[in-house]
Amino acid sequence: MAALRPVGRDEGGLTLTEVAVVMVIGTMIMAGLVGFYLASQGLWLDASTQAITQREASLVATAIRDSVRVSNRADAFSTPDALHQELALYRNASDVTPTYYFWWDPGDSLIHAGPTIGGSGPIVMSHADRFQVTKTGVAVRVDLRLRTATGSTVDMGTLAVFMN
Amino acid sequence: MEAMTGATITVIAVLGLAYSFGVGRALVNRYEVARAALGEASAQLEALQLVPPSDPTKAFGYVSPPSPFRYEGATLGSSSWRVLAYDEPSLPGTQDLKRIIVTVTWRNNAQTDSVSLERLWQP
Repeated sequence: MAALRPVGRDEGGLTLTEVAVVMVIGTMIMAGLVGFYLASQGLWLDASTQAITQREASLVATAIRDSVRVSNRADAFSTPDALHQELALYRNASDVTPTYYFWWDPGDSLIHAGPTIGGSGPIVMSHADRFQVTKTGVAVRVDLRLRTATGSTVDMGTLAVFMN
Repeated sequence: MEAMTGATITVIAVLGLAYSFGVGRALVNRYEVARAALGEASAQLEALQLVPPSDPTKAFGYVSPPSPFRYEGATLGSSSWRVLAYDEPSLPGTQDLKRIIVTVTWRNNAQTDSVSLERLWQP
């Protein structure tokens, strides 16, 4: 005769309450992880775009400085407003037409450069809030403000002397 | 016990990761001002190109008074230059060239930084 096995409380498995508690804790942990991931992603994106715009601001300043140094004189015009100007550089004193331009295009808010207006593309891909040029008989001062993809701004200024 | 240990390690790892992100972002902000300071130093050095070599501000030993270094409307520090003698080994004498050092110093978030640029000029 077989021995009777007691019907027990120690049988395997989970009660509905235990499953509910595990699910609640798991959901909380997953929500925390997703929140952490999204915050990290946002921080990384913000830092990356900021770094890219900083490099682009330095690039614009260097490009303008190099071009001014090989020039003899310059003209500056406000187009389309006082915050955005066009820089026209003349290689030689006898030149009647500029040999190189830097300008802000209101169509795309980017800083362009080239031997003719509209002839070349933008130097960098960061939008410029400000592109101001101050010229004297011996030097050019440029102040620019670029906007990152996430909305923050980067300021940069440079001064270059005519050496040609 | 194992669960507690695992949870503790996980919390430490996540906090460490979050801290590293914050540090990285702060470094980007630090370099933002540093780039502007480098532009300021470069502009100052370029402006000195216009000063005649005989000017007192280019005399050996001259130290310029500090001028404010501004970034995005705020004064973060100062800029100045000094003139030192440079001894070119292949030339006779000890004051062969003028070594002009432009230094921009600024303070941002309780941290002091500086950047220096220098150029050699004929006396």
